[in-house]
Amino acid sequence: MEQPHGPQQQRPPSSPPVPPAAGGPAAAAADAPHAAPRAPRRLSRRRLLKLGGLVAAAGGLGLYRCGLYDERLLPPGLRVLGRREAAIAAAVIETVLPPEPPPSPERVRTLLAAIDAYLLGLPAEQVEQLRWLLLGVEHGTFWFGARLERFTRLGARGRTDVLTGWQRSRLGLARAGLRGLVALVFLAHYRDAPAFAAIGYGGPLAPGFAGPPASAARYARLLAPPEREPGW
Amino acid sequence: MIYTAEHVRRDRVLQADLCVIGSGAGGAPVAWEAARHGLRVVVLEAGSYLEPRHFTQIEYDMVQRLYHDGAARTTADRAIHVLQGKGVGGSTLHNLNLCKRLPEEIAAQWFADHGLAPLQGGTLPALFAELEQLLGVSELGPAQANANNRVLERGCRALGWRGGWLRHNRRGCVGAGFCELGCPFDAKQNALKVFIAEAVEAGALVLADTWAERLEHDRRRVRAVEAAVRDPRTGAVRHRVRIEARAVCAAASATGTPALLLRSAVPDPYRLVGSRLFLHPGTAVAGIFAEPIHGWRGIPQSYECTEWLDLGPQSTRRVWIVPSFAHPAGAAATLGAFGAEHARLMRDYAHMAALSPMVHDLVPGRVRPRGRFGVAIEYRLDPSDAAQLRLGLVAAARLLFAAGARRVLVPASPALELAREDEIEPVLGALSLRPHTLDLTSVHPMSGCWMGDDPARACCEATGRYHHLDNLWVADTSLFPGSLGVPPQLTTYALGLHVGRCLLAALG
Ligand SMILES: Cc1cc2nc3c(=O)[nH]c(=O)nc-3n(C[C@H](O)[C@H](O)[C@H](O)COP(=O)(O)OP(=O)(O)OC[C@H]3O[C@@H](n4cnc5c(N)ncnc54)[C@H](O)[C@@H]3O)c2cc1C
Ligand code: SF4
Repeated sequence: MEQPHGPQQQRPPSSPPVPPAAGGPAAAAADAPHAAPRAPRRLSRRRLLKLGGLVAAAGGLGLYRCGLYDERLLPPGLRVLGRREAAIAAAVIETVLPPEPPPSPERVRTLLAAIDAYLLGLPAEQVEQLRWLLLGVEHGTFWFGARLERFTRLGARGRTDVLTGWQRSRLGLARAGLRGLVALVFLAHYRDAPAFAAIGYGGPLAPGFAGPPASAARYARLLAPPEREPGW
Repeated sequence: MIYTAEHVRRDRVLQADLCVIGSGAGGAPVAWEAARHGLRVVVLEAGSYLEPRHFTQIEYDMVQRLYHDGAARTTADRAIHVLQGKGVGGSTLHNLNLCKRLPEEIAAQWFADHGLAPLQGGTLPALFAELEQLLGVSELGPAQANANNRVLERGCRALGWRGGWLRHNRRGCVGAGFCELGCPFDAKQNALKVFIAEAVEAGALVLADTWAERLEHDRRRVRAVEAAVRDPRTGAVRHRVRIEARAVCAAASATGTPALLLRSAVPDPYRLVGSRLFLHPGTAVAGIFAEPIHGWRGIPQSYECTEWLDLGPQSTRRVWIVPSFAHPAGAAATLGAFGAEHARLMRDYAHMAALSPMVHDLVPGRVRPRGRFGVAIEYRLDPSDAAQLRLGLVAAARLLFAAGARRVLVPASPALELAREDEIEPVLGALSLRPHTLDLTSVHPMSGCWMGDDPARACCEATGRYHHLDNLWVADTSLFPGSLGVPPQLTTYALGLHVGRCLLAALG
C-alpha cells in the first residue's frame, strides 16, 4: 500500500542492520547460560582475550563500513533523508557536480536541502527505492569500482570510478539508478545564476514576473476566498 | 469556484449532477459543456491550482508541481520515463501546444475495428473545427521558428525529406520557451484558460489537490466517488470528500482512469480495463553546432519531420521526428553524464540542438493501480517497435549532420558521440536497445479504457459511456482504441467535447 507520505512516514523506519559489534549477538551467544548443557566450561584468560579481540575487530570493521559518518556537510532540518543517507548523498553530489571549481561545502548543503525537500513530495515507494540506491552506492564499491572502502571514504578519483562502474554496468537497473541520481542532483543544481552562467544558459526570461495583470485578475477571481468552504 | 486543500477543513459530502475526475484535455470540455448548460458539476483534480504567477521558469520548482510523481514516474522496469501532468488543466498546463487532428488513416482503422458510428461521417471534422476555433489554433511559420527548429527544417531540406510547420494553440506568445514548465505569460490556450475558467464562471465547483480514490457502485450504477484531499507538498491525506452524483465522468488520463476503475473493482467481465497502453516511446539525439543555437529560447516545437511516418496499416515507417530541446536539468539528465564528463558536454549547451524521434507503437503494455493513489505501468518495448526507434535514431542523426552539426550525441549509458556521418550506421546499428540502454521517455500515454461497439472487445461505447455501468463515462486519452501516431491533445479535447454532449443528452 502506498502510504500518505508525511514527514513521519518519510523517516527511515529503522536503521539498516549493523554488523555485530562488541556486546552484540556474538558476544551474547558466547556467554549465554543455556548455550552449554553440560557443566559450564570456564573461559581461560587466553580464550577470553582472543574472543575479545575478534569481537573488537568485527566491531571495528562494522563501524568502519557502516558507522562514523562525517556530518559536516549535512544541512539542518532534513525531513526525508536520514543522517547516513544524507552523508552518502552529499558524497554523490560532490562526485556528480562539475569538478571545477570544486563545490563548496555550502553548495553541497544547499543541494542536499533542495533534494530532501524534493523527495518530500514523491510517493513513499520511490523514496524507499532511493534509500536502497544510496546504500547500494555506499557499499557496492567492490562490485562497481573494485574498491574495498565504502563510497563516502573514497577520494574523488575512487568515487568517480565507482559511479562510472554504475553507469557502465551490465545491470540495466544499476544504469537506471545512476541516471536517477544524476537527474536529482542536476535538478537541484541548475536553479541559480552561477550554475546557469557556467553553461551559458540565459535562465528565466522574466524572473519574478507575476503574469499579465488582466489574466492575473481573472485567475484570482476563480479561486474561492480563503474563508469559504466547498459547497453550493 | 476553485477550492484547494487549504479550503477543505473537514470531511465533506457533496451532491452534484455530474462529477468529473480530472481537469485535463478530456475532462475540461466535459465540465464546460455540462456547467454552461446548467448542471451542477464538481471537478476533482489531483494537482494544484496554478496560475501564471506560479510559473517561475525554474525546472526544480515546476517539475514537482506540474508532473505526477515529480516527473519520476516510470514503467515498472524503470526503462521508460512517463511524463504526465497534474494541476487544474492537467497536462495541457505544460504541454507544447501542438495541435494535430486525428489522422484519417488511424480513424479509418478505429472505425473498421470498432464501429464507433456516432463518431463517423462529419462528427469528428466538425468537432475539430469547433475546437480549433475555441483554442485559437493557427499554423506557425519560419518567423516563429527558433534556431533548434530551423536546424530540423534545414536538415529536411538538405536531405529532401518531408517536413512542415506545425499548428499550435497559443495567443500572445512571446517565445519565452518555458512551455513545459508552465507559461508565465498566459499565452497557452490550455484547458484551464479555455474551458475550466468558463465552467467555473458558469457555476462549476473545482476541488484541487483532491484525488478520486474509489468509485462506490452496486455493479449497475456508480453511487458516489470517494476522494482524498491531500497536502500538495507532502501528499499526506488531510480530509475525505464524498461526491454523490447522477453521473460520473472519469478523465484522469490513460493511466489514471484505468487505475481508478480497477481499484474500484468495476464490473469488467472481459478483463479489458488497463490491458492495453500505448506510450509513443521516444528519445533525444543532440547535435553540436559551430554557431550558437540557444535552443531554450523560442517556441520549442514548430517544425516536424514526417519522412519516416506512415500511419497506414502494415506500415514500416512509424517514426515522427520533432525538435526537443530541454532546459539545463532536463538536458543533463538526458545526457546522463556526471563530473568532468558532464562539464565537458554541457560546455556546448548553448550550441546544442536536439531532435526527438518518437515511435507510433503497435505493441501495448498494461496499467494497474499501485497503492491508494499510484499507477503501475507494465510496458516493454517490443522488438518491432525497438527497430523503429533505431530507425528514428539514425534518421535524427542524419538530419543533424545534414543541418551542419559538428558532432552528434546519443543519450546511451554512457553517451555516444559521433564525429562523422559515416559513423551513424555502424554505431547506431550496433547499439543494443535492451531496456535501460537509452534514455527513453513517453509524453503520450494512450488507450487503457478504449471505446468500441462490442462490449467483449472494448470498455466504452462510442459515446464514452462505460459498457458495464449505466452512469459511468470516460473522457480522456484512455478512450483511444490504439496508438495515435501524432500528438494527442486535440483528439482528446474533441472526444471530451463529444462525450460531454452525449452525457448531457443522457442526463436530460
Ligand atoms: C511534456 C509534454 C508535452 C506534451 N506536448 C503535447 C503537444 O504539444 N501536443 C499534444 O497534442 N499533446 C502533448 N502532450 C500530451 C497531452 O498533453 C496529453 O495527451 C493530454 O493532455 C491528455 O489528456 P487527458 O485528459 O487524457 O490527461 P491529462 O491532460 O493529463 O489530465 C488528466 C488529469 O487527471 C488528473 N488525475 C489523475 N488521477 C486523478 C485522480 N485519481 N483524481 C483526480 N484527478 C486525477 C491529473 O492530475 C490530470 O490533471 C504533451 C505531454 C507532455 C507530458
Ligand atoms: S514560448 Fe510562448 S507559450 Fe511557451 S512559455 Fe513562452 S510565451 Fe508561453
